[in-house]
Amino acid sequence: MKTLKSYLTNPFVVMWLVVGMYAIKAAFKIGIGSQINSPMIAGDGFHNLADILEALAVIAVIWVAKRPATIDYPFGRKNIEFFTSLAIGGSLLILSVQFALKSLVGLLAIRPDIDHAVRAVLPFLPSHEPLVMNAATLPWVLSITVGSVLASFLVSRYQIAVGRSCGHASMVADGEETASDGRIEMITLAGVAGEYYFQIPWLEYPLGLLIAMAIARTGWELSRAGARVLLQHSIGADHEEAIRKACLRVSGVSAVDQLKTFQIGSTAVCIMTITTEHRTGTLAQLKYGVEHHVRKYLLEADFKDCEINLRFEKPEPARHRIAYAAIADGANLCIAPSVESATHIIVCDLENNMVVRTKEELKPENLVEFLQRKRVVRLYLFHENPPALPGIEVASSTSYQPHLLGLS
Amino acid sequence: MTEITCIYNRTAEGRRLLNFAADLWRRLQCATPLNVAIVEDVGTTALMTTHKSESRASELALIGSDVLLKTGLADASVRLSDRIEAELSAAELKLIVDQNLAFRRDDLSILYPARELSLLERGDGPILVPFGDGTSVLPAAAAAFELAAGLSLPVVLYHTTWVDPTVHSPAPPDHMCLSANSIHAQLLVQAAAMGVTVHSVIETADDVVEGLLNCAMRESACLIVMSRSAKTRIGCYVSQTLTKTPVPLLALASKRRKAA
Repeated sequence: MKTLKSYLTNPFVVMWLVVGMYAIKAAFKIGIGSQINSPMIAGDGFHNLADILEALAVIAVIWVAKRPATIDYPFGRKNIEFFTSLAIGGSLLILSVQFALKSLVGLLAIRPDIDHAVRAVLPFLPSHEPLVMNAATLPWVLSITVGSVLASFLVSRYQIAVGRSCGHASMVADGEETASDGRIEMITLAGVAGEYYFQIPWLEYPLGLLIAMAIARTGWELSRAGARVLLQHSIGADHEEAIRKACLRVSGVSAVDQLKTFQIGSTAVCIMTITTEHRTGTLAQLKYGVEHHVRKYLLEADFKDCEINLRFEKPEPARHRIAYAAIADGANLCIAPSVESATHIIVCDLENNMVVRTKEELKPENLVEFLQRKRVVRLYLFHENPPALPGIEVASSTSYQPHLLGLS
Repeated sequence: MTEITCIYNRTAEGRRLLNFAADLWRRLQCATPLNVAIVEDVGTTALMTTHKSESRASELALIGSDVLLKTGLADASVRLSDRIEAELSAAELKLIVDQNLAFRRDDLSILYPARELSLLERGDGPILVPFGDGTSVLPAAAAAFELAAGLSLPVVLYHTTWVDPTVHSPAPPDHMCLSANSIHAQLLVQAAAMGVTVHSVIETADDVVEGLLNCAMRESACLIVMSRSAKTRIGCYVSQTLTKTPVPLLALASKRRKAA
């Protein structure tokens, strides 16, 4: 049996509540606006009708986004939500420009001389529409606006909270749009209160400019977030840095060589190349550890899911060659204290400073030419201060025992 | 008291082991010097045509300088020896830090560093002590608690149990057998007595080794401590874990094997 909480956090239930709120707002505003002959209130009511259509579109988008993944859509259709974010973000940017213009025009109307001069340069500026109200309609306007502001803020918070917890970007975007409506209504309220109670009718215009900036910022953020996901932008440098750190905390990880991230719906996708010295037997645990910690981080960072693709690589081998002068006698071998006492030269191939292959050669007539031909970078002798050889670096071997030098 | 031995090897891996051992020695503030064992191959020494004893002395001097240079330790903090034998007694923990020896010798207590540069390279993760229903875990737990107290680390006690079909509870602890419960209780008492913070992870993993290693990875454990069982002949969990672990593992010798 479903609990009340599960109903109230169901995205469809939330969006139908939003539709209901807009329907009530529209009915009240259009009805009362027409009755008291207030085009401002009635106009706002018609705007709310458009909001209903938007909420219905969001319901459709959520329905599509929730459809399971298929062979053709292996990550599902979650990205459709970000088209909505992009569209709502764009509409908020346009709305903010319109609102800023209206507020600017209102400010200009206070000084007709400046208004006239500005309009001479910018003739496309809209005309100023002063508040048309009287003492009889004031209580209606105030009560409808206060109710509408409260409903907008409460419902937007609710929408955003549920949208975030369910990972529905379109719902979050619609919630932001509802909050912007509430902010605009709040400015209307400030204008009415300023004119009728405090005799400062211009108050709403500077406040309007501030609100226009806030709406523009919200619109920009929504558009940017939508565009980033649709264009598969990385999930962000901060997240990537944290992912690298999480990987490096896992035993066995030497480095994170390559990290590509992007977002599909609310799912973060990470493609990583991990450098490790470990071999096949250990990689399953290494993979488990890296996936566990990266997943933990991403889920704590508000992503609803993650896809992690790991590839393991060995470190760059840094191949080079060294040699030891040795005395060999049958199966026994020791490092010679001098070139003169040596019978053999052991040529060692090194990878990551580890001897991976050795070859025992009889000491050649021309040792330096031999070592140079073999591309040996250093010759070791068991001597505290080995004498120099022209054309080759000579170093001290701390031991004469091959097994202590990784040669057996 | 902990005594640490490292087997000298003038290779990249040997250098890493030496630094791992020296770092652990520093962190534990060991009272005894870091023991660096230089194993002598008599056949090789015999080849040194002249002054065999001088060669050996010269080798020890060169290795001594090399060890001090690489570890940054003072002369008095390092002891060069030709012994690698170590033993575990109730009074002290003697361990050998080596990358390969744990695969060959089950009669020695060996800390396998799993190619890590130092024990706490990845942070102050806990020490993981897997336990079953036998008492073989007790020396491992004692060693783990001693190390945890010395390094100020918490301990995770890990147990995986088979699902008891007669128990309907989904909680893994409800499926533990009586002896495992008793061992668990003993370990908790032992940890409390040593002032070590402990938490337990009990689960019903499909595979014991995979389960304990996954737990070590989830918990970001810095070390796994296990005792070799005196009774197990085939399917030793320590040997299996050694082949799969990316986390350092301290494998403690069993008493039976040492006596043998």
